[in-house]
Amino acid sequence: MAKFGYTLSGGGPVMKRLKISASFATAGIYAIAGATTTPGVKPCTTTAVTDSAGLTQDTATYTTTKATSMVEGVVTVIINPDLVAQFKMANSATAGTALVATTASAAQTNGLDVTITTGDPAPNSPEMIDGTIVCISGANAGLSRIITASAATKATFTVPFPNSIASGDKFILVPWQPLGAVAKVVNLTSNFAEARQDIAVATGAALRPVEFSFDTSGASNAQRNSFLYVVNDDHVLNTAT
Amino acid sequence: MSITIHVPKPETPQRLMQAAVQAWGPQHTSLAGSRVDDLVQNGKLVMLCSFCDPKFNPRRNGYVSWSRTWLPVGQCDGCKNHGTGLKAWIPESNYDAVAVHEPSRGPRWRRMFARRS
Repeated sequence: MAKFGYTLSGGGPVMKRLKISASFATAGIYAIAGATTTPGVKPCTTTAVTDSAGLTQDTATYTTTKATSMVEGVVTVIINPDLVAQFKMANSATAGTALVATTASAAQTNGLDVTITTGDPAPNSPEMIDGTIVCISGANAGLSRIITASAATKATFTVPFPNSIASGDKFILVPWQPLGAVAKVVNLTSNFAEARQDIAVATGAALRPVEFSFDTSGASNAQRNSFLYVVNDDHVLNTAT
Repeated sequence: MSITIHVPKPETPQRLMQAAVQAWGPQHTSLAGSRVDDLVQNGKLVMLCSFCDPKFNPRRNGYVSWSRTWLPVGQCDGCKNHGTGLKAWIPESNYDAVAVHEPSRGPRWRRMFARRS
């Protein structure tokens, strides 16, 4: 689930209880404002957080049944527009799937590109130009570069890795760039709780990446325990849109 | 200039009730404890100020702290006053979903003997 990471201002999270117009089955997802005549906020979708109210902190059940014992559906939301949310990264529509690593099949002494191993995801499908490549094993472990060109078997970057790339080195390619102009949206898993790696750059909801947190203590850890920090780019309190 | 002499009146239950009703501040239709109980029964996040927090027993209600470091801004679920530095409690079942990720402080003995440099 998406968690509160921090706020850009450094201030504390402002929590409000908002009325809902649809049930929130899981906590830690974005709530978005409803359309005209809808009685409250509703869950976001996998590709849209338009007019978001913020990040929910509990679940809620929507009801329109009159009863003296009825409980009005409200959900607790952190409404800071500068909220930085922490999303775990996943590799499919199902939350909890490990990130897919790409293994270099050839040595590259200039450190400027990675040739994938047969069976790895093609860097150009889904398209990863403007995304980020992170080395998770080998001499460059823990370092990352922005992908500037792609082909079916190769990802290329303009700024080389400091060490030569060896055959067998592992990398993770993600379709995001911190505060980038193009790779600035995130596609969510079907439960809206995690960020999908297997989607082309510039496809998804208006959640602007701010930074990554890769667990580079081991390739396996990096695939299972890495996070993306995002700011909502279409908040209802954003005066620009 | 006239002088007004206030003579204290006895604090009868009726007078205390009247004072409570006429007290300054937001009027509520339920008692603080009952409001918090309703939130707990519905598995909601509970925000409490430093005055109301000691009256809430999180362990008995199956609640855990939302964060050790971040203190929300909002309305106290107990006294309904707005303020900063509230303490947020969440049901244990929501811990993995929303509790703020914070590095473990380690066991107490390690903290006690931690080297300070």
